[in-house]
Amino acid sequence: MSKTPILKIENLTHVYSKGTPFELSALNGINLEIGRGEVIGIIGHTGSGKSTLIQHLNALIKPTEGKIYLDGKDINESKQSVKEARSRVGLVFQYPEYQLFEETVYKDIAFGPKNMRLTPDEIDVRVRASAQFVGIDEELLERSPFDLSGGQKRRIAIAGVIAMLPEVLVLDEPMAGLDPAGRREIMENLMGYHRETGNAMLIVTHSMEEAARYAQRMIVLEHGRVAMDGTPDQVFSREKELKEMGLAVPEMTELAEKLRGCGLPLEGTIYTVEQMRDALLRLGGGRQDA
Amino acid sequence: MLKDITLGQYFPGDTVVHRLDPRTKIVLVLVYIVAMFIAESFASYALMLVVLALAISLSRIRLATVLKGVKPLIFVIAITAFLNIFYTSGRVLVEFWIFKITEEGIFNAIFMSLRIIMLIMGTFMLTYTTSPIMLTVGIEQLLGPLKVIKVPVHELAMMMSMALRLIPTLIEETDKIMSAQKARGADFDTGNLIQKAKALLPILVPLFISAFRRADELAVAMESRCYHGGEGRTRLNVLTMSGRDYISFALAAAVLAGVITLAHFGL
Amino acid sequence: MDIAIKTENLTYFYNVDETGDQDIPDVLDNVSLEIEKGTFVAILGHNGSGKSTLAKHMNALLLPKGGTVTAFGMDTKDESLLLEIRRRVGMVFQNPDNQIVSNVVEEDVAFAPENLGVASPEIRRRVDDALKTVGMYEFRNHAPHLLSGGQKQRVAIAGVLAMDPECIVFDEPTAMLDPSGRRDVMEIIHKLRYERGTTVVLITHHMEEAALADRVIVMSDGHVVMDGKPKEVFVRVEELDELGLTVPETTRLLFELKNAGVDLPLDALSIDECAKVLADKFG
Repeated sequence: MSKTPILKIENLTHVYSKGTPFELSALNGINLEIGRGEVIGIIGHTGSGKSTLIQHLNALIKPTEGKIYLDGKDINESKQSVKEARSRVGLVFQYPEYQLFEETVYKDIAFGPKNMRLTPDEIDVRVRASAQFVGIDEELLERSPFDLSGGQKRRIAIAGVIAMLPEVLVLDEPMAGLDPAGRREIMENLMGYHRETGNAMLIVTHSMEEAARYAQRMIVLEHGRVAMDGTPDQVFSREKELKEMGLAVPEMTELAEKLRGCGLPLEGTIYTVEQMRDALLRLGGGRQDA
Repeated sequence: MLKDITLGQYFPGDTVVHRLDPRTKIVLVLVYIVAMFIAESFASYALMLVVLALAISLSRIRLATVLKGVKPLIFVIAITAFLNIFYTSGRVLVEFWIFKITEEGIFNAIFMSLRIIMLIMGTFMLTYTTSPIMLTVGIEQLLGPLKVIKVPVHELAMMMSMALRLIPTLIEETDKIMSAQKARGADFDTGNLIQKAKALLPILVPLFISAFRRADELAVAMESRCYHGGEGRTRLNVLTMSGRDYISFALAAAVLAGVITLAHFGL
Repeated sequence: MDIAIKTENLTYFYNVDETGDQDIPDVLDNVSLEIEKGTFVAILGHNGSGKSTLAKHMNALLLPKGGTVTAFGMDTKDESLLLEIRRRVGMVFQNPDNQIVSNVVEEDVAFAPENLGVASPEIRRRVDDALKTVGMYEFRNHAPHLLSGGQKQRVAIAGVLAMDPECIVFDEPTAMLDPSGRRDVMEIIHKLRYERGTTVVLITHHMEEAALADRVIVMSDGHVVMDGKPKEVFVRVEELDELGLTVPETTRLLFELKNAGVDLPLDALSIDECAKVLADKFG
């Protein structure tokens, strides 16, 4: 890549409660580069260090060792750099709807931009634009966020972070607890935001299928280390290792392995229904009316 | 951080101290507090210190953990010590400007700080070694006779145990909400007092809403598990006094008598 | 067959002042259902379809505004039977944090039998048994808030098992759990259904979980819109899509192949069945 990465993580190590009997090493020498405009899925089971990692990206947690560079600048260098990191790297926590607090949807979305000391006009533009990104109607802006449904609250909370126009948007399990339609809607909203702004997006998820569907790159964490880093194709071709880590491989990957075991010569890495369909059709093209 | 708060925390274990009847422990702590207030000499403090040290070592709870409980109150202790040093009259040791430091002042300061520290450590030993449920069962039974005069003893005990149950959850939640608001650029550290108080709203509002939601859900879950007040309730662990409880009472009586005797002779 | 839960023309709505400014209320409109003893029934539906409201009627947390609900022959409106109904129909909720009442695992599990006035030695037996069933016996003296989400949910299930219920209603028990926690809960459900003969009602968003049930009920806008064996329900791919639900990926694949002109049965739900069908066809 010709451009410098937007985020560079260098030898990041984090130990909780250092020097006490509860000492717990959560991250162990992580090295990563996040390119501008990349969409990345971060995967790993509970306790693999995902949450600790993402909270380092906007300086909510300070590294025990190692550095994080935003646009080439160490984010923990000064108070000013921390502040800058908070607005340029947006972080949406799990179940963000539980952090809403303002009287109106408008004011809640405006909280972030206001903290950035933008002018009222700029704030207004951003609030309306981000509400649109997450599919919240203008007429809802003056309503109390607490009157709305769970799915709407979730989207408002995400809009509150999008309104800061972060160059990197990090989301921790943005679809947790939603029904299938709700999951799809949120992901499509987010992808729309990504396409329009070209900003990078990091999505922490337990769902391999969803990560593969939306991300160009997947990072698998285990025991505070980067165990895999590559395209979904590359990651899913290491099915055995994924299983050994206790991660759920996509159903289609599993099915493909079974079919190959039965002697079907399926080509390529398969992790979506479409890939499987096409691979099968290529095989049995001439036998469709058998 | 908030997670360091040890109030209401229980450290499970299987030592003599853990196995004592909660009623015994409550009474022992009350006796300990009374004795701490009667004690006013080196000898009696030494005696109480031995009692405390014995309790801590028998419970196998690390001294550092017990001391951590004192940490939040360091400010109060410091002020008490400060006031005692400068405002006790007696044989003057050092004098400057309007301040006089007296020998008695120094002693008073030491004694008073020690008294507060030992009181806190002693009381915390109760919550550290007794599960909140056992604690409430103990209180409920000790206050049992008050039911006759229509005091809602069971309800009070249940409220207390629910509060203790929710404290760790709400502390965790506060941490989470704070991080989330910081991620949106909230600033809790700068500005004057009014600005700082205002900055707390984004934490307090979601915290209250969540506490009510949790309380609501918990109530439904309790109902589903057949909760219908204190009537006809039984217990997993029935409280029974055993030999060790009676021995503890005897020791407590002896210590109290000792402290009173020492005080009587002005020692 | 014996009936565990029966609803007849069950109708329910939330009064406006009851919900205040909460979510859009669920409504149940003339729902009539029979759940047979010893079966595992999954209830699917989008948010607001009424499935949670239906579940809360099964152990008298809500009472019908129209029609009746009977649990093991007992009318849920009969207040004198309330405790007996709740003992026989246990309920596990979504958020494990909000259903654990004690700071010690075993004391939490003992909560229900204590409320029921069970004798102490019997409580001890039930607590140990319940904790062993969910695989949390070694954690009996731990503080629940230090456990993982999946472990907490297992403790919550043990707390219900200690009542010795004949039916357990699970209201989205895996929604807040990670895949390993989800697997553990589903294994326990399987064990209860096949080893203890407990009647299980599972409300869920996860199609793979519903596919394991004996029967799937799909709700939409307060009505039952589909009801049958998983194989019968999931083949209705287009209808499920329209309801904002989805189908297991195996079914989706077979459906896509069918659209591409390959003649295949749609009801090979499990990966093994699906592999067999495909191997026969393309092999």
